[in-house]
Formats: sequence, C-alpha cells, structure tokens
Amino acid sequence: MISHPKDRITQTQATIVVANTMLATGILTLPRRVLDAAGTADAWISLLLGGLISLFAGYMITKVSLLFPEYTFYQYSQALTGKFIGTILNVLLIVYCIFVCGYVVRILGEVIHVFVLEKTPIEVVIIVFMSVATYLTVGGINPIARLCELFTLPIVLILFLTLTLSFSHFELDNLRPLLSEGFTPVWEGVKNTAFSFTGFEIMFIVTAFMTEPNKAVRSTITAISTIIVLYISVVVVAIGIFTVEELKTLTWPTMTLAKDIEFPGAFFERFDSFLVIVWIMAIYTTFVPYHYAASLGLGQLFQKNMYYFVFGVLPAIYIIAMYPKDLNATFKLGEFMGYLAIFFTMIIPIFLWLVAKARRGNHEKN
Amino acid sequence: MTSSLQRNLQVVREQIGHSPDVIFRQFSFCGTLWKAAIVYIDGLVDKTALHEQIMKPLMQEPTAAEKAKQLSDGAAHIKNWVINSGIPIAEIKEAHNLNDCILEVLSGNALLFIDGIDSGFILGITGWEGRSIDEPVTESLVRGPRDGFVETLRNNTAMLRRRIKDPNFTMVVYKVGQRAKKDLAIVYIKGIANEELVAEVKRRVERINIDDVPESGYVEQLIEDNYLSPFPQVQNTERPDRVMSALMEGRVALLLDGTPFALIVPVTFSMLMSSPEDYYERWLPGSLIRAMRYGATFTALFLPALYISLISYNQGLIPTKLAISIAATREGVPFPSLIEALMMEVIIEILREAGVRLPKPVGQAVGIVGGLVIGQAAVEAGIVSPIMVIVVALTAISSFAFPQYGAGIAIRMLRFGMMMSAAVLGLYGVILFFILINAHLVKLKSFGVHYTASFTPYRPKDWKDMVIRAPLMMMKQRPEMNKTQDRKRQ
Repeated sequence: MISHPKDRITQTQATIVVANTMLATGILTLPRRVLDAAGTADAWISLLLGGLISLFAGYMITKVSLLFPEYTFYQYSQALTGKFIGTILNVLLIVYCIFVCGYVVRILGEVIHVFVLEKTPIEVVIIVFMSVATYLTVGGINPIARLCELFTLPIVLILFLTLTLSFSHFELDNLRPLLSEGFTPVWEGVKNTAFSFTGFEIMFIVTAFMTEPNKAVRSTITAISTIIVLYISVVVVAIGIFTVEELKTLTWPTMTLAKDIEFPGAFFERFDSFLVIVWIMAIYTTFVPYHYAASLGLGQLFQKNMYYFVFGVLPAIYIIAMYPKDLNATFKLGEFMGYLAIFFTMIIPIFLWLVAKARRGNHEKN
Repeated sequence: MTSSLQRNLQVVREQIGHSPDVIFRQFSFCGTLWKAAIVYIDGLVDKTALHEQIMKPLMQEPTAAEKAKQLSDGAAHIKNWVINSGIPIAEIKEAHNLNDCILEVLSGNALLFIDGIDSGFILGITGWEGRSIDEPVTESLVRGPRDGFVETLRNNTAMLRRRIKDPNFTMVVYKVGQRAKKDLAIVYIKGIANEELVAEVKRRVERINIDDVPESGYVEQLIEDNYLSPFPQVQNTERPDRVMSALMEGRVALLLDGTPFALIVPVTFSMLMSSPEDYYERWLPGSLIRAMRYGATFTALFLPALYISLISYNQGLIPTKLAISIAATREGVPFPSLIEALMMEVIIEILREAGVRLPKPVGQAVGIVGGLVIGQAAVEAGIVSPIMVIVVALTAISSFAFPQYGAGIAIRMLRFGMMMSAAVLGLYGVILFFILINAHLVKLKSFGVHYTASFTPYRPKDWKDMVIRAPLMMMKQRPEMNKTQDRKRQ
C-alpha cells in the first residue's frame, strides 16, 4: 500500500527528484571510468551516446509507468505479467535498490576517508549517514522531493563554480584530434557509461505520486538531459585540463579538479572542501530515494506498512556496503551494478512494454 | 431566577458573596415603590458610570416608575422603562440565567435586580486599570508604528480595527480555560483566508482543555503541530502592524485577553526571517538586509562548529598562514577546542539570560563587562584563545539579528548540537547535522502548510518575497503557499 495516500509531488519536484537521484557517485569518478574503457579523448562522445540511450530508456520507463498512473512498479508488474513473474520482478528491483544503496554509501565512506576523516573507520561514517538518511525516508516522498529541491541550488552552484573556476587551465588541444582512432573506442566506452546514468528508474515509483502524471515524460526527459549536459561538461573539462594520460591515473578526478582551483590572494586554499560538502548532499539525495523505493517495494510485497522495512533493509545495505575489501573491490562492485542497471533500465521496460502491447492486442481481439 | 429580589440576591451571595470585593448595593427608587439591588465587583467596574448613569437616573426619576406601579403589568412596564429610557448606558442586556449573570459580574459588568421582575439586567460598564499603549519592548523597529498590543482584548481588537476598515474583517471569540474562562479571539479576513485553515484553527482551539491559559504561549503549545521540534510553528508578536500584514496575506491571528502577545498561524521558515521593516523601507535596503539576515543565521548556526572542526580535525582546509597564526594563539590553551567552545558559549548564554532580567541601566553595563572583561581576562589567563572569543562574539551578535525570538532560540539550541557533531566527526559531522536539520524542516508542517513552503516546491511567483524583497510594484499577488481565496493585492 502507498505509505502516505495523500503524498503528492508536482511535476517540477519529480524532475528534481530524478535528476538528484541520478547525480551521485558518477560525478566524481566519471572522467576516469569513461577513459578506462574508451581510451581516447573522444570519451565524451561515448558519454553522449550513453546519455542518448538513457534518454530512450527513461522514456520507456515513464511510458510503462504511465500505463498505470496511480500505481507503483510493485503493483502493476503483477497486473502486467501475472503473480509469479511479477513477484520475481519486484524482488529483483528491491534487491537492485538495496545494492545501489550499499554501493553508494560505500563510495561515500571511501571518499570521506580520503578527503575528510582519515582515521575514522568507514563503518562509523556509513552508520551515521544511514541514520540521518532513514530520518528522511520515513517522511515519505513529499519531504524527499522537497529536500532534493532545497539541495539542488548549492549542488548546481558549486559544480558550476568548480567547472568555471578551473577553466583557466583548460586546453582544447587535449581533446583533439577528434575520433583519431575511429569509432571503436567510443563504442567500448558506451558500455561503461551505462551505470553512470542510472537513477531514472526511480520513475517506476515516482509517477504514482505525481499530481499531473501526464507531464511525467517531460520530467524524465528534462532530468536526464540536464544530467547528460552536466556529466559531459565535467568530462570535457577534466580531459581538457588533465589530458588523457594524467586523467587515467587519478582516482577521483573531479576532486583533483577542485583542489587545483586557486583564488588570487589565497583566501581559500581548499575549494574541494566545498565540493565534498555538496557531494555529500548529492549522495544523500541519491541514497534516500533508493532506500525509499526498496522499503516501499517490501511494504507492497508483503502488504504491510513500509515503515518496518525502512529499518529492516538497513542491515542488508550495511552488509553490501562493507562487503568489498578495498576500493578496487568496490569499483568491481560498481561494474556489477552496471550490468544490473542495464537489465533494469533497458530490458525490463521494453519487456513490460511488449507485454502490455500484447495484452492490449488480446483485449482488442476479444 | 425568580421575581423575588431577596431570593435572587441570596443565590448570588452563595456563589460569590463571600469575597469582600463583591458589592451588593440595595436601594429603592421612586420612594419605596420599587426595590432594587446592584451587584458589582469593586475594581472591575467604571465607578463613575455607575454613579452617574445608573444610580442617579434610577434614584431621581420617579415619574415612569410611579405610573408603572399602578398598572397591572407593572413589571413589563418597568422592564421596558429600564431598557429604553431609565438607564442611559451604551450596553445593557437582559439575562434569565443566574449563572450567566454571575459570570458577567465576574467579567466586570454590573448586575441589576428589581423586585418583581424575573430577569436580571447586565450593565456593561467595565472599566479597570490597564497599561497604556506603548512601544513593544521586544520588537522595536527603526521605522514603523510604535504602538504595541496591551493586555485588554478589546483594546487590541480596536487597534486592529483602526488598521482595516473592511467589513470582511471577522472575529470569532471563544472562551478558553475551564476556570479562567479567558476570551480568545480568532481574527481573519473573510474572502482572503483559506476556509480550511480557519476551520482547522477553530477545531484546535475548541480542543483546548485546561484550567487556565495565562499567556498565549499556552495556546501556542496546545495547538501546534509538533511539540518535539525546536522550531516554532506559531508566530507571536506584539505589533499590530505585523498582525495586519499577516491577515492580508491570508493568515489567521489569535488574540488572548490578558497578554499583549498575539499569535499568527501558519508559519513558514521565511516568515521567521522577515521583519515588517523589510517592507517599510525601499526594496533595495529591504532585500539586502534580509539577505544579510540569512547570512547571520548561517553564522550563528555554523561558526563555532566550523571552528571546532577546522581547528581540531581538518586543519588542512584553512589557508596555511591563517592556520599557523591560529595555532600560535592556541599555544598553551589547556583545553581541547570543544571544551573551549562549549565553555564560552555557555557563559554567553548565561550572560544573555541574566541580562534579560536586569534593570535597563545595569543591563547595558553587564553586557559590556561580561563580554569584554571576562573574555579578555580569560584570554590573558590562557584559558581560551583569542580566536575563540572572536568566534563566540560574532556568533552572539549574529543571533541577535533574528526578528523572531522563537527562531533565535531554535538556532541557539541547534548550534550546540552542531558543535557536538563537529567534535565527534569534524566537518562530516557538521554537514550531516545540517542535512538532518534540513530533513526535519522539510517534514515539519504548520497547520497544514509545509514549513519550507516558501522554498519548495518551486513557485517562481513567491520568490519575489523570499530572500530578496522585490519592489512593491511587482508584488501584485498574495503568496501562493497560503492558498488564499483572493489572489490579487493590487
């Protein structure tokens, strides 16, 4: 059942929720990850292609969700594919959400460990974060949307400042020549960028709470496009400033970008502290919607109030977060998430769409 | 109620006669034809009116009374005479219930019994000593009217009436408090205020079940949404102009007899940050000062916590030169930065609290003495570092920038929580605590209106009055968040 039957969000809020959910770990690691696969300075083109694919996927997800405007994925999956398959899909989505939560919070722990608190155990960082996140999750979708709205301004502002203030080091030549090694590396890169753009599958849930569901498609498209533009800017600026070779050696390129910003007069030496602050906010607005989605799913699966599950999934998230032994293992987990993401953002919507079409066809025949 | 004077008097005497300030004045008019009695409470009635307009006409006007005695239905005649020509006062009511009569006497009216008439007359001659209208102490402005509410409800509603001559100005009076039975007036402008909101306010006031309501603070605590939140969900003010602009925006005010503090609902975060002065000055100073106020909020909330986290944990985040000079000044300070900060903050809070109760001339001196001397002495004794004193002073000054005392208290409390988080987890703790406050604000509602309604959801029309204050020409509509019925202002 829906936790707050009267909980509604507007179209703008839906856009912002989707955009904030997408904006997460990618912003820090994207330039390097895309380069790892693409290998050349044309990585931004793979990003663009990956983004376009995500646009299409987001469109599909929204369209599928709009077939049942008042219902969340967990409710209409069973209506579409029958009880058995529907339940399996639900469980898979819940597991996926829990995995994303665990991964995201682990990355948070690692970044905090490197940049802010070197001696604090990651477990503490993660547990404290999850407690603050739970406080918001129990509030329902409306407070979550409002918080995303509140945080959007600082996040956008600091990211914009990071990009523009470091622009003095930017050299367009680092991006040239275009397509020097042909299109193949670009295709390789597209595979890797898949997970960077995930977040819009939250639309499976969000449409049920919108006051004007017919505008949902506009929300999704706006959100995904904004993130595409943002991510491409970050990658282009990063490549332009660091060059491809150096970029491959940086674990957290965007942070390094921020670190290099200097103000004349040296009033503020460490701009990356701002980025850390804002990035924690961005992670928060990613963790909470996924957490909410997982708890809502469990609640609707077992037909109980979702509040118990908000707390119930926390141990599962914690286990997943602490499972990788070190940073490299964490990134491997991230790759695994990428494959799961492709499954959910592309295969499932198309599958459901075809099933829906088939059913319609059946009905019309009868 | 009977027509026997003595019986009525006896019942009244049983209930309230034991008190020495309840006066029973028995007399007869028209010779000895008509026996009457007046019951009143000395100190609550206007004695002049009692002498001149009640006793005098009754005792010195025999003609109609004589005639009435001769008629068969003399009682009705006298009743008619009393109401229509005998007693020249502005307010007179006929009452049939003795309990109501007693309540009226206790409220400051006089009660007239006439032998042979089975109803009592309530004479509205209240006139007690009250404070004259003065500038509100807690909310003085540089520019703006200097009248503030007083303790008598009628005077307060009159002050509001002076500011609006719209017939839609509506007042609904409730009696709250089982024993005290104080008058509580709910005021709003019909046609602007949302009907649901008014209904909700009435519902909550009706639910109040308590012996006495000595101050509007009690009403506030009994009708607010979330008593666990540090943030006030009901605004209180002594200024009639503030109440008036709130009413114009579609909000509802509550005035309680006995206190000059009126309540305004609903409240959002930006309302706590705004002062009427923002509107009386032109838009540019108004906007800048308001933006500065937001800056002061951040300072008051974050500065000590940032100090603790940057000094103790994340030294790398401050410019090197500054870090070195701070380290030099902290040389020899025996306490870790958290203890230092806590100590100074607690001392400032105690000073502030003490300053409230001191008489005016002494209060200024204590502020200076306490602040400068103790701070200086502490620095020279090596107990705290000078940077700490600066931080604490800046924080204290910033917290005075709040136009609303309730919001100021909330920020002061949260500052300590922030310091604790900084001490435990450094900058990360500060950020998480900040996120926690935001999460709380986002969940908080005041009478159905979200606390952050001015910031979220994005309503570009409301942005003209949020952090900046747009020119009056541009503020043509009432805030959307209040869901008012009448949108246009101009």
